[in-house]
Amino acid sequence: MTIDPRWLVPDPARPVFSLCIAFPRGSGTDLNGLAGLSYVTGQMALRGAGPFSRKAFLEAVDRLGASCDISVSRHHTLLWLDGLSRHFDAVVELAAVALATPHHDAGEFDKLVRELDVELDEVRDDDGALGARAFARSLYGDHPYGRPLRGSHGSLAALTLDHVKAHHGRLFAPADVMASLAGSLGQDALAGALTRIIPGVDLKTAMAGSIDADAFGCLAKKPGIHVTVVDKPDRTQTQLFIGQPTIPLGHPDWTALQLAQTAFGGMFTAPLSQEIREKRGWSYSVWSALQSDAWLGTFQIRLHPNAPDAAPALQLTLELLKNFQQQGPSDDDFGAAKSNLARSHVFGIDTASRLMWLRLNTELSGRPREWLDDAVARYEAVPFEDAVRSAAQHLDPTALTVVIVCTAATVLPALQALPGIASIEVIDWEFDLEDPTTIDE
Amino acid sequence: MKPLLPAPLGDVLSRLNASPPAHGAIAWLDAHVGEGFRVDRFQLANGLEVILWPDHAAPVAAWHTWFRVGSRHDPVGRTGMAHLFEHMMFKATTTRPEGEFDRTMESLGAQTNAATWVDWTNYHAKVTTWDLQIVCDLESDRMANLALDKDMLEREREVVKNERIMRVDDEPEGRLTEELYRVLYPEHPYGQPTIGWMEDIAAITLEDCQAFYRTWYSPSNAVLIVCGDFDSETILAMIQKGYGDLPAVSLPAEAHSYGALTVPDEPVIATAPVQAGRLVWAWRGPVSGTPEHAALQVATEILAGSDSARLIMTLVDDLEVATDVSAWINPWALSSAVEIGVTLRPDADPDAVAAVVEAALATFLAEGPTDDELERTRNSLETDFWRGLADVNARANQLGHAHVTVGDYRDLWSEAERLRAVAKADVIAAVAQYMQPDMVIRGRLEPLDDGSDDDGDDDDLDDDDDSDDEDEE
Repeated sequence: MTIDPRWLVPDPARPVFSLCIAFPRGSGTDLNGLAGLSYVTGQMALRGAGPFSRKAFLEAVDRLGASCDISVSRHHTLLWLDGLSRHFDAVVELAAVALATPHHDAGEFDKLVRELDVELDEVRDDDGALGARAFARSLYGDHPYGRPLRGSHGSLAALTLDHVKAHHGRLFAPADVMASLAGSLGQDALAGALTRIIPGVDLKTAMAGSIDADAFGCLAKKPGIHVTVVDKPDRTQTQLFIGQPTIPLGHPDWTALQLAQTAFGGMFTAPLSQEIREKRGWSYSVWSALQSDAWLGTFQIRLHPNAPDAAPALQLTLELLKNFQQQGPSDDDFGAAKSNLARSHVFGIDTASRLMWLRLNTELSGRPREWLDDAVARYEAVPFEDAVRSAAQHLDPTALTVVIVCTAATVLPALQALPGIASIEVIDWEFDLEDPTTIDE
Repeated sequence: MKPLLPAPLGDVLSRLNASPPAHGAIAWLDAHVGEGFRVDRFQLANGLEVILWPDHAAPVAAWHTWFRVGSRHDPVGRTGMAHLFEHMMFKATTTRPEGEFDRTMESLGAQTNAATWVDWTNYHAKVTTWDLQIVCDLESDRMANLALDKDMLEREREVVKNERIMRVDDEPEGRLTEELYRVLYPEHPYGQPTIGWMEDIAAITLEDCQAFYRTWYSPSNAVLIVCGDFDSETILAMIQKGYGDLPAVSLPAEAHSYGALTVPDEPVIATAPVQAGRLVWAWRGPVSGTPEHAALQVATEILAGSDSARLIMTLVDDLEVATDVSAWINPWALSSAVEIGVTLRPDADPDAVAAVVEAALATFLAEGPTDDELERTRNSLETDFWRGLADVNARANQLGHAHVTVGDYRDLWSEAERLRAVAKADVIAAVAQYMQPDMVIRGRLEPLDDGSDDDGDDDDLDDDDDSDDEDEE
């Protein structure tokens, strides 16, 4: 097997390794009504395989001081192996057994589903996580991106072990696999690991050009500013989410928009933080971010003002965004953002495991190979006018989803008095987390 | 063999000391030499310690300034002083207006922040190699020339109050931990929250900040750590020029009493709107840097440090009464706390779960770990050790913490040796000495009753708080 050298990131100074194998299917392949199928399928591979019970498997991994995990995104399933280099073969062997001969034990399946059901309810104990769930629900609605990766109570109840058994082969199919290895091991180690873990493996050489950016459909901005209040008792502080869908990674304006939004709220010295935190002390943390993949982008603002400050903080944030969208950044903020993004790029690739992941993730998200190498030049090449235009074109202060986790009585009257709000919906903090879609196999 | 000063480095010091600034003559103190690397410690005449770890793997470097002052040094009635002051260090100096520090750092793309804990305050920046001079200028400037004013203090006070609410008052676990530590250390500042009680945060004055700065922020009380891609002579020259004119300052003596531990009959209880309750056990432990501390580190790993750990397998997997179990010993200079925490499933009986945990601890105390558990833990800690050395910032962090709490940056390697050497009998002895049932403070986080008066139970909760761990700007 020939391995492109870029998938090997040497780190001879430390006797440890990180191996990531990416399979080209994720929760986006979950059947309708069965959200969480891919996640559960991945976890079931680690819950007993070959000669190992679940407990024996965990002990075997821990005995090596290693980790063997499977994570699922919307578009990929990733097998992560980490450990001491001298244990590489043993860790690889455990992973191979997990993927080749999972027990798919009924008792373990039931136990996993019970765990996930409890985890779903536990989300409510963390105001930030609760708000994020409500924000995704409000922003994405019935779009596949609104579907929880780990499932809902309803979808978990509908999942069966037969679904998992059938999905295992699809999820871990040997075609179009990508992999990268960081550490003190070489090409033979990676080739051997791939052959052992995925018999018949067919490595994909490049993702660029093979992604259908329309596969998940368009998510239109909903006109108006719509506020959802998640009413939770005993809160003196609020968790505030503001956002909207915007351009995906492959859009030609993406770099300019990233630069523009960094100048708005992506730095401590950007106007958003200066106005909210530095001048008024309203929120310890306040930021904006552009979170994009190959299919969809989301522009988001986060802050957590105390209850009495929530309405004025929201009003000021909306005004700042409106002004920014109309006028763009100042020369000074634009220059600082450009310098910040260009010069901080190195910190994403300054260790072997970071470089390994960024290379792989660049490929998985459909960006061209040179995207990583050209990052600094790309930011430096953006003219001021492009940043202004991208903000004007791709941010819309009149079409925003707002979620506030708070004790409603302490915030609602002030919210209702704010100008320009199209709707306010109050939902209980124990709101239904169900996936509304029907089962369709 | 004890590492010696290599001749080239001796030549460097000779050159730099030919005509040093008033307080800037540099002495070499000691070194740690490993396979393919070397870490050296120096000291300026004004007391400033400098630890350098050159590594040319990537064109980046971490610059850390550690001050030997943390929340244990907060003045009486002024808890939160060290932490609030840390925030003030990002404001103006006599030579730079407010905002210039952050804007300069952000324009460099630097990863910069600060952290305050019980024993120390650490200001850190990761920058590209060619920006180290700018960091040196900024850091030496704010060590010597901070300009404090009332308006800045009032604005930052509001930020810190908001931070406290985020970390403690609206964070159920934060409330419980704060109360637990107050009971564990009734007379010692370790029982006070690093972020401070709300009324103390409100009471801190500009004069308090100025006095705090004069007392604790001097080269005599600081350690500079630079890890990454640099030339040692260049960096030493930079530091000598930047800090060598600052005079040494005498530091106040410190005396603390821990107070007798009174174990309450009933658990410390906090209530909050949560689905899942939580049980916590906390004991006073030994100081960092000792074999006993290492043995308890191994013990906590075996109890809940990995997916196959005892308490996790029992409570999460077998009995399905918990969603998460954690155990750890904190690495403090004057004492430590050993903690076990269990996040309950909503339908679990807290008393029954507590009985299971305490029975498991009794078995552990009697029988100790198995050989297999010891092997798992050794390998896991070895992996963690190497992982922790990958990033220059993480390296500087570990060196700084070791140097300020244990008194020797080389404890980074000594600790790894101590952990490797822990035997079954060591674990049994340490658990027997420090984790007896009559020495434990128990805590419980309980969900609010259905239909309770949601806004009527706050008062005791808001005032009953913990010591949180680490606070950052």
